Amino acid sequence: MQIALALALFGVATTPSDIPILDRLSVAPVAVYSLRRMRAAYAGFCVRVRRSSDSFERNIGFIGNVIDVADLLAWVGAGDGFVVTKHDHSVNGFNATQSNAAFQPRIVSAGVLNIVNSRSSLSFDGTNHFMLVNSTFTARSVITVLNALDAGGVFKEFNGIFGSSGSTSNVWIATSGGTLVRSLQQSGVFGIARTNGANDSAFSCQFAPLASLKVLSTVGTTALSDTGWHLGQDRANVGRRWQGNISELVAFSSELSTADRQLLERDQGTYYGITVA
Amino acid sequence: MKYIRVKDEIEAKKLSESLYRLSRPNPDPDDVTTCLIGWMIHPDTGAVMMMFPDDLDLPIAVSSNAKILNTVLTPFVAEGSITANDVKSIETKLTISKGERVALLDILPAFWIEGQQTHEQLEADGWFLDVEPAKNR
Repeated sequence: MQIALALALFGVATTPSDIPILDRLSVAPVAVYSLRRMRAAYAGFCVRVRRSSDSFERNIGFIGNVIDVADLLAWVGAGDGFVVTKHDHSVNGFNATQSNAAFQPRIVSAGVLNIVNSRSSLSFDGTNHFMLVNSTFTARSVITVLNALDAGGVFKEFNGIFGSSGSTSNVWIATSGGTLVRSLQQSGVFGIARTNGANDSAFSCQFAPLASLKVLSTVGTTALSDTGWHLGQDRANVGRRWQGNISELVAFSSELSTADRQLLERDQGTYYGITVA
Repeated sequence: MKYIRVKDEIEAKKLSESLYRLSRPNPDPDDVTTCLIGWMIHPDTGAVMMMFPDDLDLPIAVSSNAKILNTVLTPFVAEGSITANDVKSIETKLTISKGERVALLDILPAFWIEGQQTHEQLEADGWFLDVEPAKNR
């Protein structure tokens, strides 16, 4: 919004689509994990990757506002590429990292980029993969784009999408034996959950069919604050890791307005080819 | 996944770091990765279990130190869970594997593989948290 105003003052014509989506909202995010640049002010790398051929690591930047796929694939070669750092594009520096090679989510498999709905995504295997955010921040509204492995139509186990490092707070958790994903909760208090912009119930989202990419949003009645967060894991529970692809996650410390939420959900719908209400 | 009990977190970290050094003997200061595999801590007893993925393989760098695991494995020899011959055998495997990829489970002592516990056994022993959100839907 500030950028649009500045450009207008200098007589530069802009359209909303020229401005990264998070600069068009009335509030700034607290943390952003994506493979596209969603804020103009972010000038850092997209991700840091380890390649399987020799375990060397390298930062991968952007081409325009999306991850530099050509550089990534050329560097990884015929082997696998694993994400060791998912840089926080909010400019707050709350990077998600994984220092254990066995736990790093995959972005390239045998020289082939992991793609969902024509866009790059991170693959989490449900057993090992997750990332840590060793930073203290508060999350009240969280919007994510992801899908799950469909192994028989239902989630085989409880597993987490984004949770705090403590035992009481969680943003998303899949229900074992079902197709629902429960939304942000702290000590039994849940936020409002939506799938692709539609309200399924106050506390849960319908995730069926599991394999189709979705926009999940939750706006909490209370803010969750913790000294650490897990991407792809239910709190500190090592037996509950996400089995599927996580393309994007944006967290806000405040209650997102309906207008802002819809603006973001619809932008994600357009970018990822998802029909959003 | 193979689950193998170790004495404490320090021992787990040393073993995991040493295994990773086989593929990255001279890390860059900016490297994030320091360990090859993870470990978990029992929520009640504080016991430590290392987690060896079944399908994990790693490149053994030409410049790697094939003796790097010898010191780390010494406590296991002392307690009798592996023998000095096991340690020598691992060193030999690592020496001849330089420049190649090896499956992680192929360089572990056979005793560990045979004595490992299953996920179900660990679940029954309370290794995994069971904190549920209220089902108020």
